[in-house]
Amino acid sequence: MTRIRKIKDIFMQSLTWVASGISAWVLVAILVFIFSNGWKLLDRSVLFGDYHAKNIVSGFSDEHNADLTFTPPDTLEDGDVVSTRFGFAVRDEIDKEKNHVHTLTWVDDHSPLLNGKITTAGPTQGTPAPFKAGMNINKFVYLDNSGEAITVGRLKQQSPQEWIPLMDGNAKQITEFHGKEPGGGMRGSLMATLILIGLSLLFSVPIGIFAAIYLYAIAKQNRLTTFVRSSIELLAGVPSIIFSMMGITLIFPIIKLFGASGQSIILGSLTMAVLLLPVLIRQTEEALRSVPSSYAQASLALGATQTETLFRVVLPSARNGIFSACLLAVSRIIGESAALVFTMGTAIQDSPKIGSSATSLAVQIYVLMGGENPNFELSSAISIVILILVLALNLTVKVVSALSDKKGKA
Amino acid sequence: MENAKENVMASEAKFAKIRKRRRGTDVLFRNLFRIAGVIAAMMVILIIIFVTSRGIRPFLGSAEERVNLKYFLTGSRWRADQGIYGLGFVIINTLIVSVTGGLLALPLAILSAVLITRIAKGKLSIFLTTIVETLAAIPSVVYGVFAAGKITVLVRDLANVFGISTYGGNSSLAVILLLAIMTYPTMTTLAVSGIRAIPKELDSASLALGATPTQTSFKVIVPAARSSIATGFTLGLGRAFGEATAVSMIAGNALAGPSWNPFDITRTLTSTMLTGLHETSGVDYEIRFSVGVILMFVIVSMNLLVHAAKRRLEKKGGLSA
Amino acid sequence: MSASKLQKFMKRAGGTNKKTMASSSGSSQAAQRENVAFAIEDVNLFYGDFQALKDITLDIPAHQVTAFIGPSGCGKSTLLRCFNRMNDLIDNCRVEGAIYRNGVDINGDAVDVVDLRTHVGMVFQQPNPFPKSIYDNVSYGLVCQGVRSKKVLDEAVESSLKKAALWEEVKDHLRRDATQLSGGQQQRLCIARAIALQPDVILMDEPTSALDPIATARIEDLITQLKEEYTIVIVTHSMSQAARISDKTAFFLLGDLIEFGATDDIFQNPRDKRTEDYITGKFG
Repeated sequence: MTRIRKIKDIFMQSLTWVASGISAWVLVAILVFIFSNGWKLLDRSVLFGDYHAKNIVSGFSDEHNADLTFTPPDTLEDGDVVSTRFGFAVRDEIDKEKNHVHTLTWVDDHSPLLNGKITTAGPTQGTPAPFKAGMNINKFVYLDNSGEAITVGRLKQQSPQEWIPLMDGNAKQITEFHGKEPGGGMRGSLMATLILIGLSLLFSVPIGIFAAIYLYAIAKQNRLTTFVRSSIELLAGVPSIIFSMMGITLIFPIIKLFGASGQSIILGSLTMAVLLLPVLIRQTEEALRSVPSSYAQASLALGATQTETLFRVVLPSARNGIFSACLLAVSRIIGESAALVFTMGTAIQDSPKIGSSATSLAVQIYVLMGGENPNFELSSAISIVILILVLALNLTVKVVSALSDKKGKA
Repeated sequence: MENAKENVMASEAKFAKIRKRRRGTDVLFRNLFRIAGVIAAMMVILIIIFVTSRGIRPFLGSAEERVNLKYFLTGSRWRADQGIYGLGFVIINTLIVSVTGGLLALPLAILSAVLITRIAKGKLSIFLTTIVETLAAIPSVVYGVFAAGKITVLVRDLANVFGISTYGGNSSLAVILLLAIMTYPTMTTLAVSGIRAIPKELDSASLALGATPTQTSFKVIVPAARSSIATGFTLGLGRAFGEATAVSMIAGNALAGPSWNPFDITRTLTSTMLTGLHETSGVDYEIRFSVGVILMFVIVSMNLLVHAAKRRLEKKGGLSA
Repeated sequence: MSASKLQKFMKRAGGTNKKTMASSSGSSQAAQRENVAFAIEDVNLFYGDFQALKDITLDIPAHQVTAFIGPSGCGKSTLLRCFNRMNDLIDNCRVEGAIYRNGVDINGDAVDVVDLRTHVGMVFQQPNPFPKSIYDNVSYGLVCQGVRSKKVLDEAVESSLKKAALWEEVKDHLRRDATQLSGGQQQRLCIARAIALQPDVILMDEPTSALDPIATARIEDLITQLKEEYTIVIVTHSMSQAARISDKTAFFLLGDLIEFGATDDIFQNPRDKRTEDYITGKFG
């Protein structure tokens, strides 16, 4: 071999390494970016908290004025101002919108703040509204020693260093505290996603399995069947945003007859159900075909009908493959965004309902990233959740099919 | 004696009843299976019909109300606030970013496929395949977050090196890079399966003629797999045309175009459909369906083109397998 | 004129020969005789623990057709593949002993396998043309070597196809896809493809077993012509084929070389009883 040829050879080989190297580097870059931006946000309040901030007015209707002294824990940082009288610590911070907020960084287990109840008249009056760490304090109202009601806090343009000692020194009894739960959680979208998964599978799995059975057992080898197969393959190639439009033009008029209106989870589910059909049908048919035909023939030879053979012998044997198909469908639902934006809406809900609009986890990211101030941190945090779920599902599918292969070979 | 005869007849009757019921159930379910098959098959056609019928609406109606179809198809400005809907440049933009992104991903995909199937051994090969599969599994919103946070920054910095200012990095180039990344897994997967399907005899023949394994890979195996590779390219391109959420996060939504400068902001068919969805009504809302019709048309046209090109090559005796 | 140009190029490309000539041992002197293509000495071959070839020693004569015969699994194809080191592609295959070509052991470290295969060509049982044009198939080996000149390639393609008795049939269709040829034509194409590299030896592993009788006859005629220029070693299942076209025959059984000699002698006066049993059809 000449030198030139050898050099060319090595050059081409190294090109292949470079190409794969680039793809690996991109994957790492994506994961690093997402995790570094979102990991610090992942705690209970974000995972299971509301997205929208809630203003809370809490207070006491009776005396709650134990003369206690509270000692702060060592974990507090500089900048935390402690109220030794009432057992909490507050820090002045800047939030996403560049505003000052006074955040509760510590609330003692025996602090009277935990015993607050809603004082505003109305249906919720009297329900417990404790103030916990993570919430923002806007103002306190207390009665001083002369019985006067004094207001202190951020709304009075006071820094924590100013109003806390004031309150500690002069308050005889706290009557009210106003604050805000900052929100920024994903619970609403999490629930909406779960509901979406349930409903989508409810509609798509039966039709998908039955259609797969049709292709496997009933359709003859003719032009019509080829046409059916091609149609289903074409469906797989339709971009998801077009499914969105299908939802609005084809499905919405139908569910309108049943009383639905506007964007809703149910509309999104039905749209997803159609989107999932090709995946489910393809996987299920493969699973059915992997069942040895001898099983079905034995069943028929024993006098069972085709339907009985399917339900008693073939489907049970194919259940691993069908299960994998469902997992892949769930994975697709979690990651889907374009098909839901038109149909399920872009309003992030804390308590999603089937009949009204909501956002899934993926759509919430889309909403958060839009506009002037994209929220990278929360988007990344949600992305982490989505990635973990999707990758776990895909991994499970691989494991299940590897196990089935082993069984089949044995 | 009589009793026994009656018993037999009674049980016969019972069995006949059961048999009838079983047959009835069988027929029922077989029809249900057929119906499911029909529904699944009809969906594509229904989608086309319904979306098209909604998409036509803005162009019907009285001369003052309706949108000008000719300008829609060929125009080069899109100002929803002024009622100007020229989609022409958007179509060109979509083609530019998608085809460029696809052409960027294709050589990388082929090279990776050669590494995975022909050079890397067992465990390494599985590892590399896992990387590709993981990239394929990442949802488009997550790609969007990454694109908005990293790719745009990269483009912006690159532009600064040349002294060009960008709109925060949102640009044609950013979209091209994003689409290249997103189409790469599809192309690689199909190239891998295409190469794996090539019979070993071709390998033996090439090596026996004094070619190195690397020469065999690139001169014999990859050309032999060109059908699968072409399919992968087409599939990837189709996905690039239809990619919505990630693209709309970094496109920038140019008001006029087409954007030939990679550092300029751009607008694609999908970004047009998605942007500003919150505060939209009337024609601005309806026109998105029309854009959807154009998107479907572009994808179908591309598929037909590739199909025709494949046919022609086959006729010349070029493509086999 | 350009044929010698091609030869010069091939000599240059196969430049390792000068260096490797230095290492010679005793019987290599014998191997350097003009009329021995391969001198095989005590070759043992193992697939893992299984021994496929046992103490094989024989001289393959140059410019003659040597046939390897024997029942399935006797090792004849395995030995054939040693000559161009195609066994290297099999993972747990181990070769002991030496095979001398031009005085050099081809299993030695200094030998470039890629270069070896340009001097020892191979035709397989199933015709395996590339899904490329006829022209590209025949010129493939040269292009890999680095030949760029269209003139040289054109002439090499034409002369190889002529020698393979295929030229008249395809000369107007050189750009047509090779897979569209008939089975017999494809096999002749594979022979042309190997010839284009101007090898010394052409190895053939049951080259006609996938072809019909007429195609088989054409290839057998071709082989008889080719031995003027090349050394041919052919593995065959058909004893009548061996009897028809070969000058020397080697009979293998379960990895052993039982008997080797002039074809007429083997078939009319076999010395070993096992040879006689195989030839008369008692087994195999």
